[in-house]
Amino acid sequence: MKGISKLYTGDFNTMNVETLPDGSQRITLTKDGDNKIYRFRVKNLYQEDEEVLEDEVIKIEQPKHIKKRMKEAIKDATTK
Amino acid sequence: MADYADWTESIELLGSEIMVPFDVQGAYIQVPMDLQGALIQMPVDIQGQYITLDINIESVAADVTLNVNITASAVTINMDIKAQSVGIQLNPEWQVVQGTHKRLAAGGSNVAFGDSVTASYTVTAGKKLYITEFSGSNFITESATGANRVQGFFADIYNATTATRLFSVGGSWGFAISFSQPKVVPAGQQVQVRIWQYGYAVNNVQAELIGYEV
Repeated sequence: MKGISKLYTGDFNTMNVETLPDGSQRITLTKDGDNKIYRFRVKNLYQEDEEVLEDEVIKIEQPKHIKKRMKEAIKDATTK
Repeated sequence: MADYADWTESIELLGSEIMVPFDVQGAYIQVPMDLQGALIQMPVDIQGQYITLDINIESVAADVTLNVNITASAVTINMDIKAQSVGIQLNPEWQVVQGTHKRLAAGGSNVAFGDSVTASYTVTAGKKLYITEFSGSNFITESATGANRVQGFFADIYNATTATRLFSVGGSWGFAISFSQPKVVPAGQQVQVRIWQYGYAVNNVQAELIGYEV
């Protein structure tokens, strides 16, 4: 699903809007429990000539080294 | 008076261990209870060492609606809970648990004096947006020269559909407000979070509203 669709269906919990020097807006949508960030750049949002200029879905992943440390910590806690 | 005699049936169970199972299974079950009278009393007195009163309502296929409608000239609801630990969640907190909370933020870097930033959101069809909190700040970009200057701002929550301000605030540096009554934006209407920068020549500004959409 594209970010703009997430916006129009209200399928998010947080919405960050950053106004850029060219007048466009970079919108970032996140939802609790969803491991994806929807970020898109849009011009003239909600206007008839609305135009999505960029659209990306970023997967949130825990860095491997933290994952490894957490696994070790759990193992350490259960063996004592 | 009814045209039949008053009727009383007393059910009295006495014993050291009593169990009264009530098991009803069927494709279509109705258990209506209609009480009408000049005086109705339904005391439920439960006393015991270990008490569990579970009310489990589960519908896999459809929504569940549990309406409690009380109509009277005066209503008193007393809840007397004595416990070591009691958790009661207010609606905004409950909406976070339910995942229906919303946070809309508008921000900008190097915003010129007098300029503003806006976040717009059109409320989803069939829902309402309840706004419970509003906050914002104007913070300096050029700390060396702007640190001693009042970092003014003007911010508002604006319904762009009805062209009405739901709330506005002016000041310097920042603010945070909780509404005792939520601001409501109906489905299909566009709410805007806006903040104007009246601090230094260029500054960073940020404003956000918190609420829930149900």
